[in-house]
Amino acid sequence: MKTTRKMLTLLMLLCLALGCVSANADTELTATNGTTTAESKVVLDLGEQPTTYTIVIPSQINIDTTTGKGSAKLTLKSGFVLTDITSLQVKLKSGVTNYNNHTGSDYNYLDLRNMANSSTVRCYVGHKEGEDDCSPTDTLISVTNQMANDKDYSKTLYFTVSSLPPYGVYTGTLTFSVVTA
Amino acid sequence: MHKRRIGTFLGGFLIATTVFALGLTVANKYLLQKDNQSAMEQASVTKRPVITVDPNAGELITPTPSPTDPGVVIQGWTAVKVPAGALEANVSFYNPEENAGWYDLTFELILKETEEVVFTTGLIPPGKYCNKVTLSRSFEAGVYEAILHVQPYYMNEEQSPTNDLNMDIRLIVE
Repeated sequence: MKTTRKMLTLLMLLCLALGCVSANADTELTATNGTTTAESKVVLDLGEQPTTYTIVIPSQINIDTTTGKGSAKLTLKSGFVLTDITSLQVKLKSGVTNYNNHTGSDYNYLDLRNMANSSTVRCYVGHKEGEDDCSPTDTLISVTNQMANDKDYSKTLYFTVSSLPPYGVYTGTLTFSVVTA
Repeated sequence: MHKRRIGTFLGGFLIATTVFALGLTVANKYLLQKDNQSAMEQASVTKRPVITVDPNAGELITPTPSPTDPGVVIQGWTAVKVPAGALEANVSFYNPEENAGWYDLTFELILKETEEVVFTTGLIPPGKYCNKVTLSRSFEAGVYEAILHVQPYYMNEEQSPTNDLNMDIRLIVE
């Protein structure tokens, strides 16, 4: 009997030790006279699934040399997972180089620069074709962790150069920003 | 008297024949000259250099349009962990495979509060990870609000920058 008690005590200590070593392991020990059984429920906690998302931004702005118009599409790909944030918004970054927001005159543009002679052409940004109503504070794409993630979320921006120069290559870049909360 | 007549006749005949022969010779020469002239004219027409059809002539072949730039695919993160007091950190910033042949990416972490640059990577090719970064200084444990600036570059000789992306990220120092 004493031997059995000693064995049980040792077994309990062993199980306790094992329970401490393996994180979050719930151990249930059942002992009856003469027989010893032990059940151990192991919980493997890998932590919260990390937030993952993929964005496709336009690499450059292409303006039709005849019409002076162009467009660019940005996309939040399907399959995004927001765990440590509740919302994700894609915007045009305010204060970006060559990008100005004329709140007083209510139009927005970026200056495309000719690297050869430093001349510029003004390119307006709009939510619709021919408009100049896209502000750096405007949200272009917005999703929450309650929304379905089985489809892409896209936004097309429209660019207009009202006075096309006769020739030359003019370039400029836009900075997009992902704001999370 | 009769002989004299015959002599006169023969003399006249001879003269007439000579004149006729001379006339024939002049006429022949004139006609020959004219023939030569027309033959030369004809020859000058037929000897014009022959222009052949250019071997490259054919139906209009529309040049293959250069491929349109695909968008830049950028993976998002919301946190990056670095050890407290360390000057190096293991990270896993990834340039997706979809950018192959088009864009390299660089990553730069900037603290929102002070605009201090914590680290900047070199070019990360498509399909590759940046596995380690060198920090500008060591940090005390805590959570710092930051921006991860992702700058794509065309994979050409100019390596010209494209549109770029800033994403909110937390720098977790522990």
